[in-house]
Amino acid sequence: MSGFSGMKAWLIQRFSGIYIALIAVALVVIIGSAKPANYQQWTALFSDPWMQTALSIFIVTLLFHAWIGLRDIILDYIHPIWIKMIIMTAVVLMLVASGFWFLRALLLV
Amino acid sequence: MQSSDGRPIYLNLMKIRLPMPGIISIMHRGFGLILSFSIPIFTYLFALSLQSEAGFNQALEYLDYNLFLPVYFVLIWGFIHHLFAGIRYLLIDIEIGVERDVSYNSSYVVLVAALLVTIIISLVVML
Repeated sequence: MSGFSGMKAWLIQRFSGIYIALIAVALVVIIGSAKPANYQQWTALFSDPWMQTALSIFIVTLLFHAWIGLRDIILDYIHPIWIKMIIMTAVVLMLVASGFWFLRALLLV
Repeated sequence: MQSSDGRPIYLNLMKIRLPMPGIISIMHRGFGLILSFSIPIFTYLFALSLQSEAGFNQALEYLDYNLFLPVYFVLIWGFIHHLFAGIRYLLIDIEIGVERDVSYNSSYVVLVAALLVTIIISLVVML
């Protein structure tokens, strides 16, 4: 249930952080310079195969990053095992559902 | 309250003077929590905006809603602070800025730079 070993989590957290930072900055630059003004220009931006690939990796990376961070917080502050399990399960469901929802929206453009 | 060896233990958070590296660290954690819970919300807006022309306009309407402006400010600040503090931790991981005075100074840089960049981004977005 804890997900990853300490060393693995530490490594994933750092490499995912770097990827998230790079893509987030790139997204701001790309959307900022393209200035999509309507629905057609907006969808054109996200139907690009490079964009779809980068964003698919982005959402998976982001969800792993969020999971490791939230898991650290839960393990630090919540000690009764049942409450911990319930909250962890809810968090995983929220993240996995967000991931499928995001990918579906992105890949069906 | 005292421990067995006589050291004082303050469980009163108001009596603990957290140094700046500690302050930006707990902010990094708090903002990370907030940003995590914004993932489903932004996923909803993203999916809505790509779904149809009407959905795109609906998403823009949500973003234009003035009541949400403080929320957006906190989310932008949260992202920028989390990013800058994260870069500081990555540098410390590769042993840059580990010394006490450097790490104190860099924590102030993170706090101030994040706020400045957040204000600039907020102004650019609003104007």
